[in-house]
Amino acid sequence: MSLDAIFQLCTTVALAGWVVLLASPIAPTLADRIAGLLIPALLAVAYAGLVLAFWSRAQGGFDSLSSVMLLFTKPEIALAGWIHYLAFDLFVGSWEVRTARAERIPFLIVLPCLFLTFLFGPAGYLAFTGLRAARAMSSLARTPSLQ
Amino acid sequence: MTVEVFGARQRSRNFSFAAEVFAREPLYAGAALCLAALIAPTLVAMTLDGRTLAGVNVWLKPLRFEVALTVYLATLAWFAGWLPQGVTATRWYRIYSVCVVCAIAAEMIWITGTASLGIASHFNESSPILAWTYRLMGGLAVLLTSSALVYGILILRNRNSRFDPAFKLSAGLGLVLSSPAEARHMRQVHLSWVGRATVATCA
Repeated sequence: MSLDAIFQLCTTVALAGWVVLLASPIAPTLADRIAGLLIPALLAVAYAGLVLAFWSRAQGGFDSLSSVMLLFTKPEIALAGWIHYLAFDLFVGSWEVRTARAERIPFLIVLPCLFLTFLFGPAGYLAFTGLRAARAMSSLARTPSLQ
Repeated sequence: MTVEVFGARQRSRNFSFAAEVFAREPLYAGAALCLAALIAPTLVAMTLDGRTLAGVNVWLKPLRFEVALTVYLATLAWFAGWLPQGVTATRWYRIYSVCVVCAIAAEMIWITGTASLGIASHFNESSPILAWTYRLMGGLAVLLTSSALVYGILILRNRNSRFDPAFKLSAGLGLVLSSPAEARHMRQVHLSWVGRATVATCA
């Protein structure tokens, strides 16, 4: 299997996970299992296989920016890095959906956070954390003891 | 008198093999599950990595160890149901079983690590560190295979009268005898590996 084929396959599988997350208000349990467990686990298997097979032959490391950039000059490791994004972004996205459901945050408000997480991972997490903080503050302000 | 062959729990309606082995020996069962989880990424690595050692893919050896040790630990966890009552809670057993699992972890790290570097794990005398690691791992291999022997002896000494004597004898002797057989097999595996390596080098 060529690296491009693995890239296509993993990206498609991750996209399917995001579509399932979008449908989570209809089928919450199924969405949790597929987007929060099955697909991240499958991506993790692909990632771990790539790292096992190619890590020892890559140059560079984690100690400096130039080392990290050198590491990603090896296509197999860059692909592993991409799968790392796909797996963790989807995992965080599904965590956001689960947390929102548990805290009764409307799905429509979570959607922009999901969109951000899909495109820019940590920015979406930040947005969702901000949303939760804002809701916590406003519910705190509404408690009678503070008025 | 009821003759207990497969253990009392097997007769319960909601029987599941995984739940049963986890109830009998959680440490071995958990370690077996972790080893089984390694099989999928190793298969991916095997598909993607074209490197060979002694004519076979470098990932074949870690894969064989993962499969074999998963079966070994799951079998032992199953046999733990026939150990004398309370033995798995004793101090010596708990220390011993942790040592066995640590030996397996060390073997797997060594075999996977050398496979990832594309070098031989066994009989590698190319550097003092590798040569000494090979000797240390030989000792750990004896430790991990000794668990079958220990289980066999404990089952033979189990005085629980509910066990069918023929079953007890077959299970106990099977485990005791499999220990040297296992050691012999491992030696053969290693020798065949060297044989192939020698052929490859000569060729």
